[in-house]
Amino acid sequence: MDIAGPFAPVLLETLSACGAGAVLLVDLFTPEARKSRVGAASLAVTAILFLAAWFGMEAGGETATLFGGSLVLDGMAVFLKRTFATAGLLAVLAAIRYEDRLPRGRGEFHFLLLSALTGMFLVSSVGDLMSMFVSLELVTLSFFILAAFRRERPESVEAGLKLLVLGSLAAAFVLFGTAFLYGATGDLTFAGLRDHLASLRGAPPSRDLLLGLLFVLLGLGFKIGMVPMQVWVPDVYQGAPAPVTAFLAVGSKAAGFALVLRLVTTVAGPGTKDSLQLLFTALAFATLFYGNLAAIPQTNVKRLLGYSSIGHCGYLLMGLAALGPASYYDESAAASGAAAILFYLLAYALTTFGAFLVVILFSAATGSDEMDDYAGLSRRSPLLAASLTVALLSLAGVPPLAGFFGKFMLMRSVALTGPAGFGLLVAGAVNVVIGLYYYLCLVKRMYVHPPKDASPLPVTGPTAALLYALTAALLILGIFPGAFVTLASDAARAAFGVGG
Amino acid sequence: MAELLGKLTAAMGTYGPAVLFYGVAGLVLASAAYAVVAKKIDHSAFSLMACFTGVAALYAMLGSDFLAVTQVIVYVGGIMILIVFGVLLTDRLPVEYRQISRETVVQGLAVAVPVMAALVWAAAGTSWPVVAEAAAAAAPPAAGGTDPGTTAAIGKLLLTDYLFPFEFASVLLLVALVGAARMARGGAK
Repeated sequence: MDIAGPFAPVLLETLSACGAGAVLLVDLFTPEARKSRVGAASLAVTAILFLAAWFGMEAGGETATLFGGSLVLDGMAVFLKRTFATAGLLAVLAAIRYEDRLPRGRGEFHFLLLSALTGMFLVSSVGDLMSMFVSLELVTLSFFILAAFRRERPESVEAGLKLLVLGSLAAAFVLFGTAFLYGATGDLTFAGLRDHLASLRGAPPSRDLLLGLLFVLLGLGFKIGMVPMQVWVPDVYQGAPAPVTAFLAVGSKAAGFALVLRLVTTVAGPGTKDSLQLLFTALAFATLFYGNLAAIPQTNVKRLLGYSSIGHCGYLLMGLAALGPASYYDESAAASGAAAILFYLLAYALTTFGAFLVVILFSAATGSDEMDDYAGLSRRSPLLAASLTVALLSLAGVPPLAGFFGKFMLMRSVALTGPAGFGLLVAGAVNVVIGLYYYLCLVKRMYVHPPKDASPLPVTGPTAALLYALTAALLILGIFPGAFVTLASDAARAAFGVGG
Repeated sequence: MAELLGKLTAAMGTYGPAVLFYGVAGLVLASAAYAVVAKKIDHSAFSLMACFTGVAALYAMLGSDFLAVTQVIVYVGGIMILIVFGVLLTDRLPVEYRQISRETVVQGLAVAVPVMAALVWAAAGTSWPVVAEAAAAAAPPAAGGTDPGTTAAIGKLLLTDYLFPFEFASVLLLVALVGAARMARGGAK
């Protein structure tokens, strides 16, 4: 069902921007004693967004544009917007469970969550580099304030400051790259870039264009936590408030990959695919091993999830490496790589929130994020332990969970590229084993080690329902992925211009 | 003597723009470098001002009148004042606030050298089109000989092709405003 007609490309953006303003107003007119209404208003906004994204937009419709091509709505954008809407709803649900720990400023907290969400919706459908920069900065700016939101805690301020300083560096890379791209093509739109490359008829593009692309990719690499732009990830994940960390892990990564995918589908062609494939293979190798090896010695759960999220960025980069070498070049391999990335992002969103919800509830009850304090969690709260275990196994890629199918699709797309992808395939498999090791270390603590403090941790009814729902979603996505895979494949095939 | 002066003027006419450009570019680079290595933060701030002004001059030389004026108003006029205020209000810090360790230099070089190499590689391998002559041929100055400048064209583009990013920047500013209020008010109960 298409409820917005020609305005479909700005439907969710308008709703969430207005919703963010409404939340600020609700906060203004609500007395201090009834501040939980602010969270309820924010929840209502994200619930409407969730419904509008999944049931109010056509997935397979014609590509619609607005503002002279500044905003483009195609299948890939719809899929990404659905992922973001899901993540936004989960972020607000998680934030409501956290906000008792915020001394004040609930209105601002929810406003910033929604403004970040607005930026993510926009990022998934931008059509030119200027709009891309503005939308991307909306996401980054919101997250920088959210990370530093608990000003009374030095770690939180440190997280915000790191995000700000390194984020500015990344923004400078994006802008500098944009300037080079404009210099090389005389156009700021993705369509113009595509036309320019097509006019080269397979000849390699000029060096300034390649440099521009490289700079923009490096800037975006910051958002997704790609080596060598990953240094901020562990500190920010550890220092930021937990709901922010979860939203950042999902939202920043998905927003970055939305743009990387948009850029790669634009520039992938006979003249560039060799360099792109080489570049992404190297980046995937480095990111996979850095993230997963550095995760092993961690003792803090948020930091562990931070390093593992770098590892997940490495898996996602495998999908881009599936662009394939010239001799095996096959649009369907590239499209299957993009489809795998889209599916993986959705699965990763659900899984990450599943894990972080437990982290939030646990630290609310005990005030700790240390892995050693998770000892014996199965005896203190079987539900929390089981939910976290399922989420961790999904992150590790154990069947029949959502994470398994995502990894399977990524590996399959790399395998489609022929012998050149073999090394990467082996690297991916080795990293799955490394990942399994450190995730299971935490599971072992929860189930085998005796608790230091045996007092049970109560879980209230609505929270338990949320945990059950997330766990069920991970199982459903893993066991019956068909419908979602079809959506992702259709979107990716359309983006790469592959018929049927 | 008159002959020499005449030769000098002719030489200035030929090499003038180049001399001016390299002079200003040298000033920009030197002041930017000094802003990084200066021992006192107020020295850094004023050095940065020289750098911003020099960049404005470079924009003007490239024919970007609007950009040059904006650079002066926003950076030299606005951002520099903010920085100077920031310096004034943080007098509790020791004035000699910075020690540049060998480690910092090595880390900086590790980033700067590859980026510089990439820039040189790209700059050397690109054929740079000369825009000014082509544009002058395409659109001769209006009658009366006044250069129309770039302001009108930028204004048109902002309200047509780039309407969306232009308007949406206001949402970005709103978020910045809320964030600034939050950070200034702090987390105290």
